[in-house]
Amino acid sequence: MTQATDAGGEHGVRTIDSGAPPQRFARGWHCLGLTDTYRDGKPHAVNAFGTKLVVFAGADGTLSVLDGYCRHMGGDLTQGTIKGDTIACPFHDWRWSGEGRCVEIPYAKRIPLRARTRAWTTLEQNGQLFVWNDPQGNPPPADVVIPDIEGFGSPEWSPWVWNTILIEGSNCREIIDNMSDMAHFYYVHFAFPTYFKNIFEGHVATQYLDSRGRPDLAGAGAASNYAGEENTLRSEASYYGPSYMINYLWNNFKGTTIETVLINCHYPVSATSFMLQYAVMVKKLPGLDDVTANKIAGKFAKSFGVGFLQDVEIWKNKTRIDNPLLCEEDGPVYQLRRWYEQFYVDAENVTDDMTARFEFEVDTTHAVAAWEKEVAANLERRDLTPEQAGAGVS
Amino acid sequence: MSADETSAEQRRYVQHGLTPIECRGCDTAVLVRKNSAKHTSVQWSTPAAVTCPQIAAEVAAGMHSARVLGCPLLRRSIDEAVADGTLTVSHA
Repeated sequence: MTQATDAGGEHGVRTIDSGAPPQRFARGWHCLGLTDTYRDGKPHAVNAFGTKLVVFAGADGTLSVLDGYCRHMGGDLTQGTIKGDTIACPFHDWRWSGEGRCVEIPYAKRIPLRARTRAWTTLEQNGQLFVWNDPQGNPPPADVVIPDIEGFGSPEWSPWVWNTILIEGSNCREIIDNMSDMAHFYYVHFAFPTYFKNIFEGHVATQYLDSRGRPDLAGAGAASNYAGEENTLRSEASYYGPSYMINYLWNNFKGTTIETVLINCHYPVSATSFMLQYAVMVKKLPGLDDVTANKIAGKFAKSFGVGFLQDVEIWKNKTRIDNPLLCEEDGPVYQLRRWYEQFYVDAENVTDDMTARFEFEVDTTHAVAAWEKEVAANLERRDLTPEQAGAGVS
Repeated sequence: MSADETSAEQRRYVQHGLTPIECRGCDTAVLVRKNSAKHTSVQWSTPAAVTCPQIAAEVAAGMHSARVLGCPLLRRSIDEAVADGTLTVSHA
């Protein structure tokens, strides 16, 4: 789809190709949240991949994910009841095992042939539940794994603080783009990126970022984890597959370094909506009791929430764009999208250039110099009295 | 812009201005673009963890190769290529 503002381009006006969001969902592991959430004895509904899933824990605690609709008469299994290791449909009590087999129909002598529904391959890692999505129906390759997070479960770290935001009107490519977007950290998150490097290889995409907070902003927007005058940040973030990012962060504030792990993940709800999820765990500072440590984790989670909402505000109003116009200070948006494309084509059509190693170190010097000037001007204006400030404006 | 023009532009963005550089450490050939002294983009066509001993060592130590920042010998080779004029720093 093309916006025909200057179809022939004879006036040299650039037009936006907004394309169309893909009609399939990415191949890969998708995180559905904390495993504990699903072990409350009830079935849970998850709207994902254009359908509804039911997540339930069997008597032994094993989590299973099935298609949400009963193959008998289409009843909603998410409204059903867990009976033993099965999920029972509220419509006629057909019982489905975690493997997707109908194992009991209390009023029937015999279970019909083909009484199988779709069971999703699951994985529990880092206290989180994952499902494998593959439009071709293949199992996950052995080398496509979600890595261990070392601190998880250790008494030195807080537990996860988990949050979700439903993003409507945007395809999830928007959040992937951020991975290579150096300059938005200044404008959207109020931080100076001083070092920025991307590496894409195989199914993993990495962003190394050093930043410090902008000193010229106060108020709600400055409450993001990136902002604040005396806040410097070192960040190492990798997407493992299309939707699950582990971000190790070292925030240095007035000489104290706070180590956190941020999970930034999502699952697609439809082609134009996705569930953004973020979780934070914080390494306890020496001598800190659990209550205080958890409080700090909660505070950090809140500041990340502010950061994500800053992005959401942009996404809500922007257009999809398949042909971004880049300057040299921008990150490698096109190479990132080429990497991301591997999850949207059949496995046999993944080309070498999608997965080959690519490194891109952004030159932040020119950008930072320009931004420092801008910040200095803002600070100067802020320190003037309203009369002095007004005098300069004609 | 038509879908065809967009595809052409996508190709241009990922292919433009790349110069082949051979690493003096292990002879691995990569494609490099330098927009400035600080900026460097490196396109590999070989599996880095196999052809580059430096990256292989990090991977053997348990790191995913996409988390390895790069190879210091390759970096030096790129700097040398800039110094001897083999690699032009574009100001376009």
